[in-house]
Amino acid sequence: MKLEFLLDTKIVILCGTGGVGKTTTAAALALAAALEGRHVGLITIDPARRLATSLGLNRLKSDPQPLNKYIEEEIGKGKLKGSLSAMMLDSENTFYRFLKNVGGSDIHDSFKSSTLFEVIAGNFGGAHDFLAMEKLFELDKSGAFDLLVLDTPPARHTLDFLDAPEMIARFFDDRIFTWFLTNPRSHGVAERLRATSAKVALSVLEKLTGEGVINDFVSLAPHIYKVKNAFVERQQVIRKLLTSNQAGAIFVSSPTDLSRGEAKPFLKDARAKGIDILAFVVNRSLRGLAPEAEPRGLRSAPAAVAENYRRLRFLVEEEEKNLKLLKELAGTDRPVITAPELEEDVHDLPGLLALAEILG
Amino acid sequence: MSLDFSSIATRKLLVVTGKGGAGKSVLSLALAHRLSVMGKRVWLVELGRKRDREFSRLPELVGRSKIGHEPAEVTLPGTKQKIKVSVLDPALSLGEYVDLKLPTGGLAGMLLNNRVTASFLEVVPGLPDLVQMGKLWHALTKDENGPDVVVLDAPATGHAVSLLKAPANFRKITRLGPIYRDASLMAEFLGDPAKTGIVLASLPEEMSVQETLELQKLLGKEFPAPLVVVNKCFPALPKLKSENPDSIVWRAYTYAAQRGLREQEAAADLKGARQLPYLFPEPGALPLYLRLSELIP
Repeated sequence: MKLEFLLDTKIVILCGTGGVGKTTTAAALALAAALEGRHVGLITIDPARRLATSLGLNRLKSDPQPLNKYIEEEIGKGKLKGSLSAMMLDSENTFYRFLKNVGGSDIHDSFKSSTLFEVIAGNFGGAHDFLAMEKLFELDKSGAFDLLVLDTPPARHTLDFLDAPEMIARFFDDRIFTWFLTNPRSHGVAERLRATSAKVALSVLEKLTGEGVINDFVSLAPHIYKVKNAFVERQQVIRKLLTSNQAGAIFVSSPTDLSRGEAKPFLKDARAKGIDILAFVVNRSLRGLAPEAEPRGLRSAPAAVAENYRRLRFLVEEEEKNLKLLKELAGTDRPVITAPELEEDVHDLPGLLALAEILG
Repeated sequence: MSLDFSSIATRKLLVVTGKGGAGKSVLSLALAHRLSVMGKRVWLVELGRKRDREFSRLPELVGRSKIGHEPAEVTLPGTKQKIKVSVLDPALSLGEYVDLKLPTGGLAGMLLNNRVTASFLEVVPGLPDLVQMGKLWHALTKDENGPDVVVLDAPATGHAVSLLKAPANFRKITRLGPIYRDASLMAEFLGDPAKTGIVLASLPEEMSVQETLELQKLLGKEFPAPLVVVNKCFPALPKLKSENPDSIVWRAYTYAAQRGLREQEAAADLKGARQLPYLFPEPGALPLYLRLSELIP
């Protein structure tokens, strides 16, 4: 195996901007590890649900969906030494499940009946990060998998979820929150805003939002308080695991996108957050298609054929420049793996398998 | 292969979104350039927190080392067109909003220096989206010296939906008060095909096309029908017979020809979409955004 860490790492996170085949790469690496005998859980939080497509499935569910049978139907029995299950991160579902597990039915129901929370939950875009961590915790604890492969959404700030524990702790830690708890729904909202230094902020918020939101929040506050420690703790557990030597990130890019210069800030960020970069994967390389500047037969080829070759060659030259820069960044201890452009779009299992062989 | 631009050229706000890597930033800049050539005062905007800025391509594209929250005038590289550009800061946007609504002086500062509010902004889903969209809406509807048109280089697919739906969501949560009123007006503005145009950039690949279809569905009828652009299409190559199909040049030709066909097949699912060609690097060519801008009639 080229990527030996797939044999002993517990969590691998795939990062990189959209459009570089990150989801496909996640699926291919998960498959490669499963073929080698690992029990792999593959999670995508990509809101576009593209993982399902690359696994040749119509829709993924939010619970792990075992794919062994499906894989064996496609590639024949006996080749798959481990197992592969795939799932979509359903943020809403993950959160309510967390509430039920940690807080019990009462708390679960009070969140569910809150209008404020209903809207927030329907708009969980920004909370994907926290809930991906929560999902990792849940899956890691279930013991059903020995490798979790997480495909992140195509956000720029891909490693931000590592900040989640502090962010949440900071939010709940403030006096304003305690204040909510000590004066639950006692008087009119304005009256409750007298003594603390945080009151100004709250009164400003209230002037903007009307009493409704603040009241909604006040009635939820004690429940939030009860579950927040558990939430923060779980986030911390996962972060500890993510920053240990049992986990790491893979930066995925395409040769032309490398020119965006995103690898550098990503590396800096990863270093600052203490997460290992396990490898760089560069997808869809055209190098094999236009390997030389002046191959034999170029001059005698029909105009359209020669023109096409020159165009591809320009692309390859750009690619080479970008790759050189990336290798300098990566240094000697991190593998840079290039996967060639495949003849077909990868949207089924045989395609994924071909990619798994190249990458793994 | 040209972009049917006339249908959206009259809108005040153009939201460019779509799949990551589909060329949103370059397309946004090309649109900004075209609108500027038409004589409009253009403001090209990206959204972001501090950390997003490290990854923003906008500075590089317009030849600046840095772009901040305040609109800065730039001369577009290779032209004499001047437009304004910003990468918005959600915390500053919130402060401006508070100052606007409660002009009692210094409140915004207190609000923003307050730890709880700062983290409020981080934790409440959709709040950064709301205040940043609000800033654009305000510039377009209330500010006499504001731009004629805002081109928003919006985040990729998933996030773009929550961005566009933020006003309607806040309308639902708040029920009364200034945010309720403004969010309602903003939701109307975003839903009005005379005011808002949505450009969805896709790639001519099956997965990207599916994602675009899904995005169209998510946007539903609440928003003006988007202009769908399939970007980076390989050219259709003539079918040629080779005596030497295994040679390097012919293999490359077969690859490109098949890719062109495959892409057409994938793109066909996006009914009514405009296709834009793959712009191959060429020594001495114009900047990419200008080459793209030339394809917009």
